Amino acid sequence: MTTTIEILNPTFARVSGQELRKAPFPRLEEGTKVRIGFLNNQKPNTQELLALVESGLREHYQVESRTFFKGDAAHPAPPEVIEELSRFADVAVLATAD
Amino acid sequence: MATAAFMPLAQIESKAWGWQVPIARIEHPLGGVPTDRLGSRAREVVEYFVSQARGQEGGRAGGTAHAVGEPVLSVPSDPWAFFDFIQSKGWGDGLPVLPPTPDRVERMLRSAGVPADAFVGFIPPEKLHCTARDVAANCVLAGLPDAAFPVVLAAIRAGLQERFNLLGVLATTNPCATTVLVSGPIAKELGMNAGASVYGPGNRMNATIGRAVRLALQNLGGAWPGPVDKSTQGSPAKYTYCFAENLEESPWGPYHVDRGFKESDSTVTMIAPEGPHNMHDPASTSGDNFLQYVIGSMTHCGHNNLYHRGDTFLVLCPEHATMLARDGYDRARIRQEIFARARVPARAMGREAFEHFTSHWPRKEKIDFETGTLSIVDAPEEINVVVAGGPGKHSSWLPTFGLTYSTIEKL
Repeated sequence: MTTTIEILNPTFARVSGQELRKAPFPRLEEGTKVRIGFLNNQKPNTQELLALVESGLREHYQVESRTFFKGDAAHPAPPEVIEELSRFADVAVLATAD
Repeated sequence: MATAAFMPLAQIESKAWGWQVPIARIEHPLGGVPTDRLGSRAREVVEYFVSQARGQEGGRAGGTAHAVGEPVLSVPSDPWAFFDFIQSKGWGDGLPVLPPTPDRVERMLRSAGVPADAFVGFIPPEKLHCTARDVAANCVLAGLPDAAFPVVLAAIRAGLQERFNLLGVLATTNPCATTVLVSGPIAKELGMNAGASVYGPGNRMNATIGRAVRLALQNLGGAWPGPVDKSTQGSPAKYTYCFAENLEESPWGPYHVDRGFKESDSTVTMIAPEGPHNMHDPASTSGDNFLQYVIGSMTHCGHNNLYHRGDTFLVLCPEHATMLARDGYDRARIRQEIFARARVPARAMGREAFEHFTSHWPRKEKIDFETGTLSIVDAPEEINVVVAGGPGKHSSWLPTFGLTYSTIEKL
């Protein structure tokens, strides 16, 4: 018979109670005008990929786009960049994880 | 969007902000892929975007941002079975662990006079609300002596300072490790090693302080190696990385005085370097010659300090430090000389790496690929000079993640 002991869970930390929210995504019909913000993390090939994504989205929507820059890949974007992006965009590609 | 290999990290970071964000999965990798092969990845993003735009609406995702665990667990009492249990959960580091029983954790908290519910911080990437009790449980797991608990708490608080960029440090592909430098009287009081084999192995305090910090950040922040800690090759330094300043043999006084603290203070500095890069110079008889050797050791590619911001650490053995001091070098002069002279030819990087890194160059200087050189840091003040180690002619350099600055807390 296996004997047991009690331990404090080393991964236990209090949850904030914050409810997980689903980020809204606008319903877009084909051909709709949409302003898209791209946040470039400046890692290799990100700019190239975002340009191809923008080009692909133009086949579905009337796209007006702007690219914003984080500064570097390892820090969150500065608040002023996010504010400017959110003022501009209906929808944004906010992060590239690679 | 996230490559398949980075999807778990992307999901955790999203949840940490309280959001369930649509994430397009694309083929891994992205960097290093010829641009004519990016089209399929772009199509994956476009198809995902269009499908979201057709059918998804905003609203509540339900549940909370984080899973709720049980605070107390019943586990096997047999040491081998307990070790197996911890490993099976992914809560260890591959080495044997000790059970954080409630009485043992309570003893550690009591010895430090720290309330169990004292708030420590929101540790990334999950950003949960962590208390002293949570940290102490990991300290017991790591085999930390009770007396060293305040050092671990101070290290974690230092790591949570914004300039340290703990999220980046814990999640990066870089092999940087959370590293603890202890300076001041506390190092001797605890019996830490500041001399021979200062980086280990052998001394329990050094070993378990570094390990406790690592386990606490991993287990309380959710930086699991593989899905979240994305270090491409990892590093033996990630098991434990802690050293004490050799105050008794430093010709320049305590390091923390350099950072504005009193000589009598004890401090804990958090650094995010690679493993130590050895600099073996048994031949130099002058400070000038030795410093040239140091500069030669620093001027190569591969370390992030070359093209990112961030500070770096020169850790001198006592014999090298004494020679430099004898020949008129203090910390300020060492920093100035290295900053001015430690420059890597741009051509050494190869054109593609050079063009990538300088395309979003954080520094003001413009570099020509054919004739230019790159400094290893932005300013002399970003070169920290510390004395540690024992007899012999081996000093070391700790290049850092680059996107991090060391942070310091007083005990």
